Amino acid sequence: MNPRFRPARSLALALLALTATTADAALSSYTGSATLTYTFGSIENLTHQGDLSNLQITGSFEQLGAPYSDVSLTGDGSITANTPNHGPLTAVSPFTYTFSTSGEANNGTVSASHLGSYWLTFNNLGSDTYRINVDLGYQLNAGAAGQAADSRVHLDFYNQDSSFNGFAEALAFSGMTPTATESGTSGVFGFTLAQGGTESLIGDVTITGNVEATAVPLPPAIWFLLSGCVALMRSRRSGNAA
Amino acid sequence: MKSRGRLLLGGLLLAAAQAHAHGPQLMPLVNVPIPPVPGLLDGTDPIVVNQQKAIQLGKALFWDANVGSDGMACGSCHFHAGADRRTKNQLNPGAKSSNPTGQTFDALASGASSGGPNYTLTLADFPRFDYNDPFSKASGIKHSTDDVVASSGTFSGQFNGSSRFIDPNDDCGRSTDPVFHVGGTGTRRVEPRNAPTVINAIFNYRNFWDGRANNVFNGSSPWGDRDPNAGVWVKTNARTVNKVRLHLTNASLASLATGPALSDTEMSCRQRKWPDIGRKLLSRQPLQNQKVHNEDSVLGGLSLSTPGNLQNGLNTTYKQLVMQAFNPKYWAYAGTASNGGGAVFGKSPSGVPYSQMEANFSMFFGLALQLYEATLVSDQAPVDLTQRDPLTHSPTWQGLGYSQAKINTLLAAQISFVANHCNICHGGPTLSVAALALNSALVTPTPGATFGPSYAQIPYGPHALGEKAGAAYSGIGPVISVVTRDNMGSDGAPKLVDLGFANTGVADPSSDPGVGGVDDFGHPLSFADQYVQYLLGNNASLFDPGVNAVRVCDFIVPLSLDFPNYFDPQTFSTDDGLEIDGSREGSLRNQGCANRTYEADVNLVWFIPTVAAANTALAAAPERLAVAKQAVFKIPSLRNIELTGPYMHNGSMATLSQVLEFYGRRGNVDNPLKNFLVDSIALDSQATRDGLIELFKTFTDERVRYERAPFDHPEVTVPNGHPGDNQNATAGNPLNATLATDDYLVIPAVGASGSAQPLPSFDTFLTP
Repeated sequence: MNPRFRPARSLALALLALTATTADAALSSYTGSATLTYTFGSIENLTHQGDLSNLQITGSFEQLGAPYSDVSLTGDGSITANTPNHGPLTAVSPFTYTFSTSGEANNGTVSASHLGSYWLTFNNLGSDTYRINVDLGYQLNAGAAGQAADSRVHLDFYNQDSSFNGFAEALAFSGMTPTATESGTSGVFGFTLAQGGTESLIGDVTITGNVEATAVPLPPAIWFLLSGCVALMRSRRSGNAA
Repeated sequence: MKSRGRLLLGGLLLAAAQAHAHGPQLMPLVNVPIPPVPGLLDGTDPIVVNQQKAIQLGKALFWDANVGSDGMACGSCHFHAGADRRTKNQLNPGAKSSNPTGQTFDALASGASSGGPNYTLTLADFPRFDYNDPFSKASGIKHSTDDVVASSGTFSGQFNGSSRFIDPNDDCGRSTDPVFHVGGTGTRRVEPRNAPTVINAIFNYRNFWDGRANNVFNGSSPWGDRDPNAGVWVKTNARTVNKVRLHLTNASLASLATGPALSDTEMSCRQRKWPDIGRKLLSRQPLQNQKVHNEDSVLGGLSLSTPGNLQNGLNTTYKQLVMQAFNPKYWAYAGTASNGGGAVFGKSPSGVPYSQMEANFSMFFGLALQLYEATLVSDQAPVDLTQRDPLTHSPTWQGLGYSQAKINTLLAAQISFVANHCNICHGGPTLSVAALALNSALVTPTPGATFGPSYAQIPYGPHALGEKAGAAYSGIGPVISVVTRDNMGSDGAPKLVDLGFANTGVADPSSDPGVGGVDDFGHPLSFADQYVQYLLGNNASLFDPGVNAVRVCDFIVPLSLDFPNYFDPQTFSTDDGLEIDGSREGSLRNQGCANRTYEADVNLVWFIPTVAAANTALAAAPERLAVAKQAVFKIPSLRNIELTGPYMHNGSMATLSQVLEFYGRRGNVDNPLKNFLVDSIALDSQATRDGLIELFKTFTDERVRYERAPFDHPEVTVPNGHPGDNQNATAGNPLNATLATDDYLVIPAVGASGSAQPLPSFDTFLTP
């Protein structure tokens, strides 16, 4: 027999691999992301054609904390929700950013809801009047995997007085619809900005994920066989040493 | 008898049936209108945007055992022709009673060791109120008990939480119930009233035996406008959600649906709330652990089954069905904070904020179930399909393939049904006067509107439910009047009573108050009670719409007579001080009156007392304002009655023969509120009773008998007692070691074409 081939050790290693694989099989997870892109369709100075010097356009993103975001974890449930804030900074078209969160558990639960808010704001710092068209494109991605999980990525878009508004959703459910993507656009939001006026087109993205996982127990026979192999390894080692 | 003789007899019987016509006759349910729910499906902003999806949602929720805390579905008590035919662990000690005996179990008629939890009922245990001579109360009581045959439900416990995805059972602190146990081993609790059928219940103006499932649905609870805390959450904009009042009329089944799932007797652990049920279900596959037939008439398209290979669940989630069925403003608010404030919908026991979808789940559940149950209309029974006399519209029983002998039997039975005044309470197409909206709609003159089969169409109008304004004899008129006045007791004293409700002396009135009970806010369930407050001018004590629109000129027995110089301790008259009904509202109610006694002088009866006169009578002549409410119960439909035993609110009768014996002795317990007509019943003849039973069988829709669409359904595994009996039960239920293990009854999934085997009647499941 090849002295490098030790049946008991090989069997024990195989059983350990099986144990690890079985533990991974209990992992449940959700993911959610939203990529929002503002595109300026047209911007016109109705008073002095072509002069945009007094029109300030800023874009920003903020992941809001409590009470707009809430997390509940049990067992080994964990979440990742660390999208950095962005801006406010001078925005040029297209202005895009991605917000994402995720969660998982091997033996526990996750209930998480996070709100990320995108803003594109127009400020008229002068006395001219501007005519502006802008739209908000979106791609929402939801994912749910493993034993039991679901993910909901919800976008609300609206202007300052909500006269222009709409919503979109992507839903994923483990075992049924593990991934879902919803792409589209808000449609053109057109408005006029008079002297001193301000207007925004806002995108609120709420990512909600739920996860439930229970560790799959190994059959008792496996544990018995594993302990037997370990004992055999020890006795052979002591025999070799002698 | 030779055939010519039978034909002659048939003709004479048909003529006699028409001559004796008095009150509502046997009318078809074919093409009758489902009472509309304004705002539900219509208008510029309907609540339900996809009716078919809502019906799918409703059917799934109705049959899903995940709705209950420990395996109970609505269908667990409504699976046999819409009712419950289980015989084991079906006894309640009579918990609705005001007597101490209502807390303890009695031995039943079959023996000293009978009865109690986990007992298996036998035929000998019925009827549970019996006389030595079943047709004579004077013969003395042979056996009686206040124990109720009803439906076993949940073990209950204290709710802690539930899994969103996996575990079908809620996490509850469970222990042995102090009443429902066998030798200290806990058994499932049992309801205190018999489960009525859900089939045709869509037509009941109010539901539950005591009418507490309000005609108005408030979105949260059974109580309609009475509940000050009810409401639903509506998205205003991306960051704001507001709670608003909901007021949907003709939505009694939605009101009803919000009750049992929170009941600690029927389906739920204590302190569980509707958002908790939403949290448990929304992320799940409907009917997750129950087979759904690939040919299910509603769910087949979502089923994962293929022919010959039935699978569990639907290819969707409850969340998706809700989103597809309902207006987004009720579910599209994605967060849990509003206007800067957190957890605006509240939190679960574990501290996780509810979502808008969870907070509104009671509304989704109620309305989805109502829309599904609105499809459960059994309108193809022989009484629907028979040919009818072209003038009177009475059944001729021709065209059904019946022998002339059978036709003669049914014609004679019709005469008996009317002669004994059964039709006064069991009138209209549903065979219950409790169908207020339907009955009033049909007697409203509506040019061009008809109902019934194509070959026997009946025009809407005053004679729609019977010639010579037959409906009016039951207090039915074109305008819904929720209260009537009728004679009660052996002296026939008139009393105000909720229309569609009656006391027939089934049991000791103290054993169950019926509509004489109160709601969760301490207000009387009785609409007649409220009507007295209206007469007294106490408008602050009116809780339900319609009470201040009651029409006295429709009353069976007048409240007032415009007779000067006339005194009657039971009736208001001119000298007491009268005003025309409707004067207070500025809209006189003196048109289209239904009262039959003063048909020719109806101007004498359309008066009510002035507020002053009513208040004077309260002390000086209280009989004028007398109300019948104690042990008054909703009049059940007789449709499919062959299959829906046991009978009465307390399940005390197992067979239709026992029911007729009960009526033959004119009730079990005489009391001042027993309807006066019961004392004129004459059923001594066996032939008469046999004929009536044959008539009752014509109320059975064969689709119900064979569970064909729309009465097909998913699989449901119904808890059916516990191993052992009422002396021994085996502990060790996985839910808690002190609880008895469960036995189950598996009702297999049935597709649209139904089952090969017919549903038997309840008594066939009883051992002798």
